[in-house]
Amino acid sequence: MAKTLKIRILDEIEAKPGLAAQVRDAYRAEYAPAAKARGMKLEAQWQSPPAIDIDELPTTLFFLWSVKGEAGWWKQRLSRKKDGSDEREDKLAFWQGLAPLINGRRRRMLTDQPGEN
Amino acid sequence: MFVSLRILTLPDDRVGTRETIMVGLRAAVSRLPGVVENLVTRVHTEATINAGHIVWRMVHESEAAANTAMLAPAWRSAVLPLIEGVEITGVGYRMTRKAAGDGTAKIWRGLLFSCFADADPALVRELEERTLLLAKYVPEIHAWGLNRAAWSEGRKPIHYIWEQEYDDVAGLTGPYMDTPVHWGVVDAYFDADCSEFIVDPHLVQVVAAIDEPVIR
Repeated sequence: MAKTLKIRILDEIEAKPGLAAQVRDAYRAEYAPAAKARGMKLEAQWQSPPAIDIDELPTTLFFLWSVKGEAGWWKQRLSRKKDGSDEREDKLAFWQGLAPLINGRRRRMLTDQPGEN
Repeated sequence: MFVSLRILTLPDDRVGTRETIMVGLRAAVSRLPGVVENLVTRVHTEATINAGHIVWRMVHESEAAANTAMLAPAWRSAVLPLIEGVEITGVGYRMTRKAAGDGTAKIWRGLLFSCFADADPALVRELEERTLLLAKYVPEIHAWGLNRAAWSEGRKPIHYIWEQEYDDVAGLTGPYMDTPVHWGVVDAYFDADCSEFIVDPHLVQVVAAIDEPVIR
């Protein structure tokens, strides 16, 4: 039986100076619960500059998620709301709401590299 | 060569007349000038999105010939009565970016989509280039075409037609969906969670069984 591929999803969000806490709180409160309901597991949360929010500088927030295999990936991607409608509009609404607070964002899909570490 | 592709969605009270409409369209097309190939068939029951009931794909000698066909007397007398009251999603395109297969495929799939009006042209170019990678990295794709629309008709504009041929539907629902080129690269342009999101969520994905190659 083929091993299930562990796919990681990394959100990288650059908060504008002084807004890191607001962006972090919005992501945790408004995005993360729905993402978890879609089967995504939050593996790590990092930031740079490290440890403290420096109000004078942009802060990049990283949220690392994982899903189980291609099926798990498509489950979160094609998720439906309880009423059966496409959840994509909710996702877009969240990111549009966040846009004034950030300089930019990027989502990347990651896997282990081939071969031995 | 120029393709005019139409997806017909029948009103509920006319779904039972699908075969009659298909037979009528085949007969009507035989009377249209400049039609090189004609496919009129039912939409497959699996793996479709907003695809309606009938696929009607004509290949014309040129775009001018496609226009001439729609002005022919047989269009008015034989085609229009058949499609009156039918919702049509249509698109016309030159089949210029394509690769034909070995002629053994049994399933044709077309994805019709559009980009947002304010989409960054650089992202649109990326989407085109990366979509073509699927043809390289999914061996189950035997033939493909990625072409821009010259015109479209229906409720929404269509900008692109991404066609492929497979041995079976499993090639589309399995390897095509599972390749990391799809979920790890190309899908970002379709995904509201990604900053590359530029494709209108209203897609038309149509699948049909074929007896001979559609992409030539």
